Amino acid sequence: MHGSRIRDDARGAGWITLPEFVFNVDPTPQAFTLVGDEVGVVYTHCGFFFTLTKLSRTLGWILDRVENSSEISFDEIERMEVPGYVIQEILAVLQMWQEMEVSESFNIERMLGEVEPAAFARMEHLLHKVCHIIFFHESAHWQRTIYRAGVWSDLETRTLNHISRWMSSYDPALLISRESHDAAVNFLSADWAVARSWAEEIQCDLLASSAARAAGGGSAVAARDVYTAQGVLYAFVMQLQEIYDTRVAGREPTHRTHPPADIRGAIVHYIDAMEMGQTVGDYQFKVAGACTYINFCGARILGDVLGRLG
Amino acid sequence: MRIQIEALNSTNPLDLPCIRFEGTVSTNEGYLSASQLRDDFALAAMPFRKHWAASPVK
Repeated sequence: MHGSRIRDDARGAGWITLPEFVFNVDPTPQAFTLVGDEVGVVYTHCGFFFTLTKLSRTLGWILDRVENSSEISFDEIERMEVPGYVIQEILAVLQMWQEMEVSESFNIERMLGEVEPAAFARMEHLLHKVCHIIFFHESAHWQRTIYRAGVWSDLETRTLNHISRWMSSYDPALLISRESHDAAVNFLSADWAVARSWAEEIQCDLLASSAARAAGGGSAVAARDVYTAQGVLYAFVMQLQEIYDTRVAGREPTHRTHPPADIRGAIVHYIDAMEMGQTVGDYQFKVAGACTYINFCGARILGDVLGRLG
Repeated sequence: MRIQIEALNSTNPLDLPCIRFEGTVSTNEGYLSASQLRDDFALAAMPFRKHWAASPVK
């Protein structure tokens, strides 16, 4: 056990410590972890599954582009025609969330009845990858309870140091505007508790990404699958949740515990690039190109959706 | 909670005591419980399913 991050009393001959994993049919796309001294519970709502299923054709369209293009220019993305069904599927997800919020009842056949089996089959592997990243992210929150003293705080310190360096250097390759970067820096600078909360989320994202790549066998294809899933999670699920809250439900977003999706993705990529010894540009466009593409593509598509919402 | 490693090598890890299913959804034919949906939904979120089946945990 020497050199392990895990405490000796958290595993023994023939046994290991695990949290309780609860899968709830709740149709809202949420996951969270309750951490106690000795026990923990990781909740995953099936709403992630329902949401991604409803986006089957959209995700298939993205997969076609990611898997069949060795190189895509920003100009191409700017000029691309977004199919009507992509916009329609995204609007349908917003409508589904709204109906669930007001009615509290969820008829799975009515909500997902229009999903074509072939479209679902095309993106099922990607759906699983996204779910795995969520699973690993939540499990990472719990892992701190079984880590040796100092291991988690060392990870947290390292992440906070990276965030400090990210705050002091704007890099356009991270694909967020200077204004967004500066707004995030001001928000973080105003309250140290916010920085610690963001650091934990980002740390768990990094651990989840690493675990998902390892679970996929560590191959280049497995890595691309994980970056693709990460892109879908940041650019579609999280960004769409922010659009829903602000534009449909009329709620003010709170970013005290979780960073905005675009900032979150930018910091995670910045740290991953630094840890890999890559320049941000090389990481963004060569290592994690699939995620970068989906983030850029998602911003373009959701811009169209926002235009429809008025 | 303590889980026996032997149990992780089960061909059906969803029977592990650390895994629980909650809630119901309505269908056109009535309600469906989470445990009835587990093969479709919970399995999707369990990254180790195939690994458990393919290579026993040591």
